[in-house]
Amino acid sequence: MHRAYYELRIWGWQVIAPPLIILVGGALGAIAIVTLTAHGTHATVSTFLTALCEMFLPLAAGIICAMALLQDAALELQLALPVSFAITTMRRWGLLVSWMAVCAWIGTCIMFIFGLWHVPTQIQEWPVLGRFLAAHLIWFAPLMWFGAIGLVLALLLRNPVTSATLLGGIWIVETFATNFFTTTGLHPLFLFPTTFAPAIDFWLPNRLELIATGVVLLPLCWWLLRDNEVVFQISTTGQSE
Amino acid sequence: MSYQLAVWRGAIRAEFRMQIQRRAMWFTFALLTIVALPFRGGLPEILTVAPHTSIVAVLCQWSVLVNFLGMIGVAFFMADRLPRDHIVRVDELFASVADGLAARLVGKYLGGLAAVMVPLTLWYGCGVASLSLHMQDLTVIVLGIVTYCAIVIPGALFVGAFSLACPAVLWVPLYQFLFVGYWLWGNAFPPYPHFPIITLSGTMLTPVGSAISVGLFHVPAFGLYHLSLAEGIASLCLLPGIAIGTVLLLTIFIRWQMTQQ
Repeated sequence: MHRAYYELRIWGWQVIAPPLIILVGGALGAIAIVTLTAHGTHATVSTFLTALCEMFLPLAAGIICAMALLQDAALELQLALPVSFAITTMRRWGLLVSWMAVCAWIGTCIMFIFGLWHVPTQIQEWPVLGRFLAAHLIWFAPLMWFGAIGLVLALLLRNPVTSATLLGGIWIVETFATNFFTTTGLHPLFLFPTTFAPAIDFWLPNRLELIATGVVLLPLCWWLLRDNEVVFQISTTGQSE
Repeated sequence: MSYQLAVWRGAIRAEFRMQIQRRAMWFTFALLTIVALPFRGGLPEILTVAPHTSIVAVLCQWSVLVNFLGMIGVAFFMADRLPRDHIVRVDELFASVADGLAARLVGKYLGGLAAVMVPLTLWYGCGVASLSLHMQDLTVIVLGIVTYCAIVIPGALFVGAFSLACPAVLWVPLYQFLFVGYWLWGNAFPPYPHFPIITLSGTMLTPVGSAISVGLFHVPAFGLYHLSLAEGIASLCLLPGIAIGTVLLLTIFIRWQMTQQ
């Protein structure tokens, strides 16, 4: 707990603020849609809020993982410590994803209470408790995926900006390629089915596949992080090139 | 004046060289090129539809697609230019030498943007060349240059200016996240009220080029079907105009920041 507090103090508002901005901005956006436009229907607000948790929070986590997780002003000191930098980075990853998860959990609970979310067809008949638990898969699956992919890309490509650009490109493509993902066999790569295609019959397997992808990539991250040369290269070239 | 010009030239040269030598930039644009292939308006599609439709329509589609994906690269690779000066601690050095801030910032903007536009232009040029070969028609290249100047360049100037300026007040990853969100919201959505959320998309302030495509060439893009010629020309002038204003504001802000230190 003390360590988590210490890490958060180092990061400061830079990491604490993005999910809060998304949640508060999203809430204000939803109010604006209802009050200022002629489209303030239940469907519009539900789509908007579901997208907030499913699309925007995980993207923020992915970009921060790619850009900031491996940057450390005292990297050379970190590499000389008895606790390996791999463990430190994975702790930071866990802390960042947990903070995003807390914000997404609060957002989803509010959406669930007011019924302002896209209920996937596959879970519509489930009991309330089951639906409540399944609702959290909306954000948890893409959060795990983006968080793990962000770190893996930064480690494999050895360049934070390239990794962040690719994440942005993937995110944009995913928003436009709904038909492509629903009609081909690429179900495990469909990141935002709740927002764009809640009626699909593979919603639950898709969520589990995304979580599994994230979980499988984490040991790979840890393995890549053990190479100090790679970490040092990312930290220096990413910042000064 | 000659001193300012020398600073400006030096900044352009240095920034261009730094940016063009980033292997990551080339690699990123190569990946974006591959990602764009199956997209609507991508190279395989435009080569298929080209014989059956107007060449200007095909070129506008191609320009808008290159803008839509390529500007993410432009934004992300321009966003770390100012913070880099702080990280490698040359900003203190710049602050200590005689006044040349405006020339340096304009040079940084133009040099960095020119370099990041090289892979984007090659990507665009490959599409136009393929189309020209496929159609056996050299006028495609001339029209390709026209759509490049009208659609790609104004968007790049706009995106480049904001990507240089915003990280002066925002953390780079936060800016990148906000940019991707803005890019979808302010460019790809169909214009309000066809889309339920109020958006800048389809207005004159659409750097992806849909307003210019519709206004100037009468080619629909991103759900925008009707816009007058005057609005298209206004968009063409507004985007670079706002870019110039943004760089000016950045200069004023950094000068103020330096006086506060």
